[in-house]
Amino acid sequence: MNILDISYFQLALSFLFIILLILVSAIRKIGKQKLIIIASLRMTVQLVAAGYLLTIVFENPSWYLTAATIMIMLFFAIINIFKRSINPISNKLKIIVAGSLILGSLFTVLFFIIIIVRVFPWYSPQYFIPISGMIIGNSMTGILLGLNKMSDDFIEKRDIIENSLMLGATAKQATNDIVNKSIETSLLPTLNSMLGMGIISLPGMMTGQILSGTLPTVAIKYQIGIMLAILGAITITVIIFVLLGYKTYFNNREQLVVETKFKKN
Amino acid sequence: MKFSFNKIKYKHILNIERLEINENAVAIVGKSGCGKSTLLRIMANIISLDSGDYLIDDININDYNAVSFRRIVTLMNQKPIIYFGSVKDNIVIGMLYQNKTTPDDKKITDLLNAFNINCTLESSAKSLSLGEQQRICMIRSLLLQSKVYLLDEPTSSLDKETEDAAMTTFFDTAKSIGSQVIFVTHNPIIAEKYAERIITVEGGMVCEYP
Repeated sequence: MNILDISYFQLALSFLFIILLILVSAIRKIGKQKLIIIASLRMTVQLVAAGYLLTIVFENPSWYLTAATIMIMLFFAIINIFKRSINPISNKLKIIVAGSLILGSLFTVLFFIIIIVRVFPWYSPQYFIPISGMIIGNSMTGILLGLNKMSDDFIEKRDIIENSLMLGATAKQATNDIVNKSIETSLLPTLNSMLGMGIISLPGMMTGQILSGTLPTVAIKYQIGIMLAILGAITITVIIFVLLGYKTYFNNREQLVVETKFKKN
Repeated sequence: MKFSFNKIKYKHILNIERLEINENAVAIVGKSGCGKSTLLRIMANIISLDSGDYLIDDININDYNAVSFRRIVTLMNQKPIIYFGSVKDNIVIGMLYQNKTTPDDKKITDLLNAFNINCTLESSAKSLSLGEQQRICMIRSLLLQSKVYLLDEPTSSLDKETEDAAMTTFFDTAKSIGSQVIFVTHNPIIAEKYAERIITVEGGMVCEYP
């Protein structure tokens, strides 16, 4: 049940699609040829590097190589969130974002690997790394959506929050709706994708396993498990983030401190 | 309650050497941008001073719990702030925040009538006119039975007749529950009629003309 390998010549043929795209861009004067070339090159180089690195890690299974890989993934995920945040965020909030992503994803990954799949040894890179990748990637998107929603709301609903404070609300009461909306926003895309799963599309993990010769009945068990783990990871990550995060918008006198520097770019 | 300010500064907006407010009905007047609203926001502890002392009944503001303080001293915004939901939702929201028992529908309807607002309790609050929304905010504040009301141009969206009627109803109700009212206004007639003392703010400083 081995998968067919692709020769380098065959792989090179797939770059014909890029040539097609470059031609379209040039003829239609879309002017994106440079971006197309850079994107294809980066994709290729990054994946080749990842392929060789993973081969090294797989051939030398050890807890520290697995841990190092996970830390690198978490690091880039956190940097990515900061880069893609619509509004500037305070340093305190950055620490909370990083902390909740690390806690939420690591807890879920360990739970999934050790309790659900029961991988032995637990750090087996073949399982640990791809599963962590999916969980960290999805938590990253979830927290980013929640963060953008929350930071937007603190700017747009500033008057309402302050008015609630004037009516004697605590900071927690005044931001209850904002916090709930932020949790909802971060979870909705995942929930929506679950609705169409198996009908409109076959999810990536399952597709990969089936291509490698895994029985579809086994592959779906992994897919169901990972979807629920992703949902769990986003939930834990976002709950920690919002419950600590909203407080950074208030000082010790429970006054709102969204300054002008928090305006949109 | 007695509000005292000593050498207070807030950004480039306020710079008051000394001010004491003790009366039951006080008007604060002055040109736009002179710092009147900022003074009210400081009094309600929505913002804090950069320097100087703000004492209430001779106790420093920072010795009060911020939320408990704002449950005694209620500031009403110039721009009416309306929450999503019905007229009733908007009227009781402050009481819910303060865990107070909400009044029955009859009491709210009586207040709507007293303030001359023609709507049902279930009407969408956002669909009311600006002037009606402003009076909804007045009712919302009054039901809190606060010791002190700070009103920032409470009648800015009302025409002359409605303005006078709304102020009279507000002051009568406030008096009946023994509240102190400090209000900012552009209108010198309203200031003369309802205040026992008028404070003028000019360029962030207090000038008083006896």
